[in-house]
Amino acid sequence: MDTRSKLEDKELAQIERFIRETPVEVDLVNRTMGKYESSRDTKPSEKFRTRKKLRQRVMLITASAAMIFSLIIVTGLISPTMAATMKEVPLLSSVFKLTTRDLGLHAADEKGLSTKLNISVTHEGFTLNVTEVVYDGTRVAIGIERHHKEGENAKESLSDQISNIEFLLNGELLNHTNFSGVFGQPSKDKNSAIFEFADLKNQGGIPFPKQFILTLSATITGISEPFKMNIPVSDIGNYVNLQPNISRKYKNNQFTIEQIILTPITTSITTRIALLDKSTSVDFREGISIEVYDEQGHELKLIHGNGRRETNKGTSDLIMDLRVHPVETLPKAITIKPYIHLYDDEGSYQLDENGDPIIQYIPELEITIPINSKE
Amino acid sequence: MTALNQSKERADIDIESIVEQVQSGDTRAYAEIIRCFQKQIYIYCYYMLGTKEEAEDASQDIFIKGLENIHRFSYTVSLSAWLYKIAHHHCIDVIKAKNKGYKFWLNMKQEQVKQTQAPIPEYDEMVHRLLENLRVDEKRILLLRSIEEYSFDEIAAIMDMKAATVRKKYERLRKKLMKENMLGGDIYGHSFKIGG
Repeated sequence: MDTRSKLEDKELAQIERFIRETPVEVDLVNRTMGKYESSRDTKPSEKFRTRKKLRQRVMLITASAAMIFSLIIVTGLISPTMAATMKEVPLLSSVFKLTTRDLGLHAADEKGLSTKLNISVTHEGFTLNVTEVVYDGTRVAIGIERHHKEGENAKESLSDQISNIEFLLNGELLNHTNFSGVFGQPSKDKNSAIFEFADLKNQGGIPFPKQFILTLSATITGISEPFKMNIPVSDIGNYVNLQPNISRKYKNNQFTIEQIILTPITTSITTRIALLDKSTSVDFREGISIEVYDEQGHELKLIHGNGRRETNKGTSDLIMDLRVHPVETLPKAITIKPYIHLYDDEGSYQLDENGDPIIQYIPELEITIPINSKE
Repeated sequence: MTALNQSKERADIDIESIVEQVQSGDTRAYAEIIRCFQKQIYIYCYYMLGTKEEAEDASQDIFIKGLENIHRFSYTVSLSAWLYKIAHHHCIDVIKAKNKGYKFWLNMKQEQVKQTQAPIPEYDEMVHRLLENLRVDEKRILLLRSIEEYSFDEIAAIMDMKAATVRKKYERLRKKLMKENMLGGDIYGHSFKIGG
């Protein structure tokens, strides 16, 4: 419980920092003073003018409010919690090799599937270095490291120091319309970080090309100039693509496994949850998560995922891409076990005695997909 | 220490004499006050109201109201706290006006919106999304805590409330935000449990 509230503190502090450090360029001095002086000259008509202006403003606000509601259902962001759970492990060579919870990246390094790079940029004595990259058709992962000026040693981890991170694919900015958002990944130490993202091809978006130039642009707190680096990326290929399209029904939900992609570093699963009766307002689909097992009962643990509704409508199908650990060899079957979290009265997760969230499986939605290995 | 804080501290040194100058009739000196506080007031309005255009208009109006009423200002609170009070009343007026026309415009604009799909900066978007579920009071507290790193006592003075009430509300809004963060980012949230 204690750790949890510390985590929450940290998350809230992050939100507060986001607000405080909202990038703004405003210079209101001349306009305000001008407005003040002209209002003193034309006092009687001021009321009327303000009203008209107000009406124009109302249009503007409501238009953008509607935009916010309808555009983004799930935005992939570096979750503040991610940064908080970064683990530290003694320093060694590859950033990927020592990631503590992503077996896929570990495998990428072991099997020589990742590309080792040494691209760096220095601003104000702070050097950012891209050490490796891997792209397996389902996700792009990038390892970065920092080097300080001599004698300086930041207490903050590299991830905490990064106040903004953006990617451009062949010069085009990646945003919520064309990629999953950036995921952080626990890295080997404070001086390194791993960032990942995926395309939205399974959610109606355009797939990333097989090869592209990725531009990383990161802003480090306290350094005005962003660190920009161009990274050549190419698909390592070599994957198995299954499209089982098997569905199960439970209450008002129809749950479908649309696609499973197995690569040497990722198992990617696309699910679709449709509402059977769209007239109801009861919708707990976003609360449904899945666990993935091979036929021997080994869990393929979750790396990250992103999802969105198919259209702007609240009742439209919810499509989710989840990326879990890779399989060593082709399994005979894969079992998907959907579950929900249990919440207490205040809307927080119910926790067990170890402080882990309590989950409840939905056996009605469970699906086992047999895999026929012909090769 | 944030840039905002630094500018605030610098401002605090001579702000008193600038206020005196303005109060004795030198309205031009007010430009310096705008320069010192514009960023903070703008961010406050931006998150209270929702758009940059709106925030710009509101900030200008707030500073004008400040100037028009500067003769009433005395150091029972800091100048920034006083400006936030004005900002609050102004934002509430704008929000009220906005709610009147809301439904109508929502219907009108919905089709258009689908086609335009202008990208919204992701961090701002996240903050807007989190704030959507807060009440106006809670938003104020969060924004004042965030932008100025005010203490509960200072916030209480601005909001005419007891510090204990502010603290309670802050706890409640924290819970709301955490819930929102978890529901919205359920799949990310889940993955930490397996941190190993």
